Amino acid sequence: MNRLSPLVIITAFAVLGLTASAMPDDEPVDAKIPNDDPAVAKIPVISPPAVAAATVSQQIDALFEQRWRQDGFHPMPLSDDAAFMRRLSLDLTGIIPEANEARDFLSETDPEKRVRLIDHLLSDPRHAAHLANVWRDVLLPRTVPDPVSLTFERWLKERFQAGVPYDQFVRDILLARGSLEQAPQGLFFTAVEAKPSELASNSSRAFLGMQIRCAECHDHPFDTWKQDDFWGLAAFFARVQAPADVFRPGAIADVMIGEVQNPTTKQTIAPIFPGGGAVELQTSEPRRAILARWMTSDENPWFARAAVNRVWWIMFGRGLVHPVDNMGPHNPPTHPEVLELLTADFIANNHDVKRLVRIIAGSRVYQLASATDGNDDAFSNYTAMIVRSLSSKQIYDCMIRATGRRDPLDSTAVAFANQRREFLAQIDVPIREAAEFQGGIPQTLSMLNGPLVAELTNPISSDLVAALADSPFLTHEQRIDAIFLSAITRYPTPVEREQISQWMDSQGNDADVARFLSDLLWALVNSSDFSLCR
Amino acid sequence: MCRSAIRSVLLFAGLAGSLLPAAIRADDAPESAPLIDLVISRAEASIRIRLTAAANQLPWREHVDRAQSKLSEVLFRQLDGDGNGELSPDEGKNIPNPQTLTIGQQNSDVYVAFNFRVLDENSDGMATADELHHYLAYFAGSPVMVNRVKEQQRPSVGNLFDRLDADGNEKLTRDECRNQTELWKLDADGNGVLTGIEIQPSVPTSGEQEFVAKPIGEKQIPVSLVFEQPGETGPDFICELTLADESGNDEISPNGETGIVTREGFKLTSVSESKPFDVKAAERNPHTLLITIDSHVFEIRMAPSSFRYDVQLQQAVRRQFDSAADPETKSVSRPADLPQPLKNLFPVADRDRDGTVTPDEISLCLDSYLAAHLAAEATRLRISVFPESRDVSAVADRNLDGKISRRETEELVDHLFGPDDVRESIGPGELAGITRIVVQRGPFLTVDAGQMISDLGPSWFYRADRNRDGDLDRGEFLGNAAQFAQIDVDGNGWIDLDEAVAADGQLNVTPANAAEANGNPATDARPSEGSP
Repeated sequence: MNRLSPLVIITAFAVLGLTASAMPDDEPVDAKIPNDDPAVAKIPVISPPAVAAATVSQQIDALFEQRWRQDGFHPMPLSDDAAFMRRLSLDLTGIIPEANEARDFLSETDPEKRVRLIDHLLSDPRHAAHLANVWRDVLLPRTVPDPVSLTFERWLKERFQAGVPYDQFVRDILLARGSLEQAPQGLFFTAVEAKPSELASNSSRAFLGMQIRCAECHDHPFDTWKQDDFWGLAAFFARVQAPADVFRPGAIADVMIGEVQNPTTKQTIAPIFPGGGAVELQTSEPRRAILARWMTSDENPWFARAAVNRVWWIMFGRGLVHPVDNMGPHNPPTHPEVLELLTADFIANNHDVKRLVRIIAGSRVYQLASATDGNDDAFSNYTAMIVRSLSSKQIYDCMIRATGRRDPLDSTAVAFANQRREFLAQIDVPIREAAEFQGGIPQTLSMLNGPLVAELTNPISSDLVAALADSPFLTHEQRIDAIFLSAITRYPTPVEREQISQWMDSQGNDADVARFLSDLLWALVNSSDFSLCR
Repeated sequence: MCRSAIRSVLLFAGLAGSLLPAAIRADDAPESAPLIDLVISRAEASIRIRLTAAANQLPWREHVDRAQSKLSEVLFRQLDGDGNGELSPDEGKNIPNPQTLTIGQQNSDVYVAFNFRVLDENSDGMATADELHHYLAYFAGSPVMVNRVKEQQRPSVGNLFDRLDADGNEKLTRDECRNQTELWKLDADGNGVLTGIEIQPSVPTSGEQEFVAKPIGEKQIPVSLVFEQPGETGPDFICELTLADESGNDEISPNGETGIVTREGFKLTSVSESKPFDVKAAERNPHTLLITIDSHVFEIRMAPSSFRYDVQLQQAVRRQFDSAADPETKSVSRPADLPQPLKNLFPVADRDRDGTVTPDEISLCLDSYLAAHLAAEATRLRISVFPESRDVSAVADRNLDGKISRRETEELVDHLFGPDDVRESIGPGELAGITRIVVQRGPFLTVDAGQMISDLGPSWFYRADRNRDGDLDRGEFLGNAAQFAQIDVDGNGWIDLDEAVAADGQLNVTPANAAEANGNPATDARPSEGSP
């Protein structure tokens, strides 16, 4: 069976200059991973001590520069500090920086300040919370309501914060047992009623980057997946018992019986690894345990690549293989040498997600300025940072921060939560691609005239405006600076200053300062500088 | 129904009865009488602390009466549209509910119609200035209210002891208190405040209780606290509150220190030679008093509640008025559509009863009635007693918000062990009991005493306090590093309420001064308070 094209690994060896060696075999693999297929390239395993993250960042840049030279591309210059800080803060913590964080960072002259900012944000608890939020969307259907998924998201966050290796993290999910109180990650099962077909589709998409759902009903039209392959994977989950829905009590457990059938042939399908043959099953071991071991093995050609590709997607808005959940020979990576380099490093460093993020954020390619003309080639070749739209949750969170809204009191917490839910319902889009702006009339009107934006920018109800207007230690110009830094993480340009000054003059001498600041804040949160990550 | 009965019905049914517990009303006390007695009992013994107060060297009762007189005089002028010296039922209909400007109640015709029968004491169909004064004085109630905050009214901080007790040996060392790296990893939203939800373990163990304060040690004997009207029993201590008039009303203030902010403070004087048990009193700062009875601490603190609230409310009403005004006439009509508090002020402001409030009318209303109203409200005192606690969370949660801030955790060691404490560790049974008593002046922005300590000080301070922990850190502060350092006088990395009030007093004198302080021309400074 020849399912996958060879992926380039030579470059990874060459760039790293490291010797491959076998991982200690402390966990025997009962089920044989099908490695006789020459199309399935193994990832080289590199023994520690690992190369410094900064060195790998430079190696990535070298690979990109080589490609740019070959293809005759000219990359954009490095982004300015303000754009870099806003971008990094959004990518690592999901939210824009505070005004004073921006002020301090922009005033720093230390050439290493970007590196220090990366380290600072990686250690921020909000980084783990942001990753948890992202992975929650990856792992759970959108239909799972937020209150139900809170403990799951918290479980994710604690794993990211503790630096649990990614392979362990995935195993913990796939092998969840007990009630949701005991094992919140079990929501991965109960959210889809533990249906084997859903679990097969979701686990292959989330952890292997494979989109094999098409094969549930028929052979895949573009890829080589057959219907039996899909149901062979589903068979690993056929003996998992879970509550029928997330609101019912009960525990996730392994049972002794349960099979799946190919709905077309009506034949019972035995467990089959994707891309591999039948599995030697041992009666004493749950099927999903065998799958989890195979799936997270260093020798699995997809697992680490999919993880790297997803982290790349978080940082750039598109994967090296794009779409991110559709890896395979029909959809090769744009920069296979980069993917392999990062994958090798990821495996060699114990599936350390934080290190991976640090490497990418520290690279020059991540820090390039964005293109202003929306040139798709520039994005796919990474000669300019991709301009991305914020998610609806990010817009909400950033608006709360930009307008300085204080945390709710206990008496107002429910009202705030309802307001958030209503706002998200207004501006959310069904399927979101970060690199595509999908806002339409409802989204635009909600930002222009919606009650939330009105309240957050109103001269009386806006905490930022009220505080600024009342601050006796600030000049008017400093107030304007504070509004800009709060909303769009930069100072106004000279042209903007001039325009604002003219506007202020046109209001007359008795202009209400709070109303003026309110108008300015409203204009900024409705600007593309606010709603886009450049 | 007789008039007194009507008054009773109104008192209990409508006018914030919960704020005015009848048991402690002191209406009939002589003007010079002390405010209230705190009686602290332990076992069979007790001590009595008598609370007295003065504002700008005036006895508090006299201060209250002056403010009430001023209010009734100004309101009468506002309502007496035809200037005949009496209020007709139609004019009286516009008497506002005294509470409406601060706690959001709304006027209704039913309320006002009923009111006039109470107002018109001699039932001659017209109300005089004296009758209005009596009416307002009665419904203003006692200037002192006691409010006991219930445990369930407050959010649970969670079990901080276990989170800090790294080795799990049921002893908290100084090092464990100081080493908070792991603790702050729990701050999921990164707002610098830990809530009970963040502190609690993520995966509860079935059958085990959570959030349980560590048990009271065997040596602890319960201490109780009750409030009594001052009577014949003499006090053991006299606690004098020195209060400042922040109303800016120079007709009330005898020394002309209008608008000058002076922080209130306590002075505790022993007046009895023999005490039933060992009592130690200490001032933590000028407005916080610690009374230790054996190992139980009573902390009495004064919290300013209405700092420049008059100015802020005036600004808010003016903005509401400007927004609602007709572009051509610059006047406002259709009061039913107006936002609060403008809606409640409308009947008072509409002196000529033509259904429209002009800019002159609103200005007059704000400058006279609103100012007098707030000055009268500022004479009200609320004493809130928070539940007794004996756990680390209570020691840490010094601002009583049910959450733990970075500052509170950093200062925990000092508060947990004390300056003379030589112990290296402390167990849950060794924790002192704490009862916190907060004295606050009106106007009260919320009826919820559990949230009474938020929104204090100048609005540039509390409205920038995004996590509502009562301090501004560098990230929250809206100025630059140099300005922060200038205001953070003690250099501890937080601007607290006292520093904010002090800075505001220094910087907020005139626009020119503020500009000079910034090294900028006067035209670049903030506008004057009266004209935003």
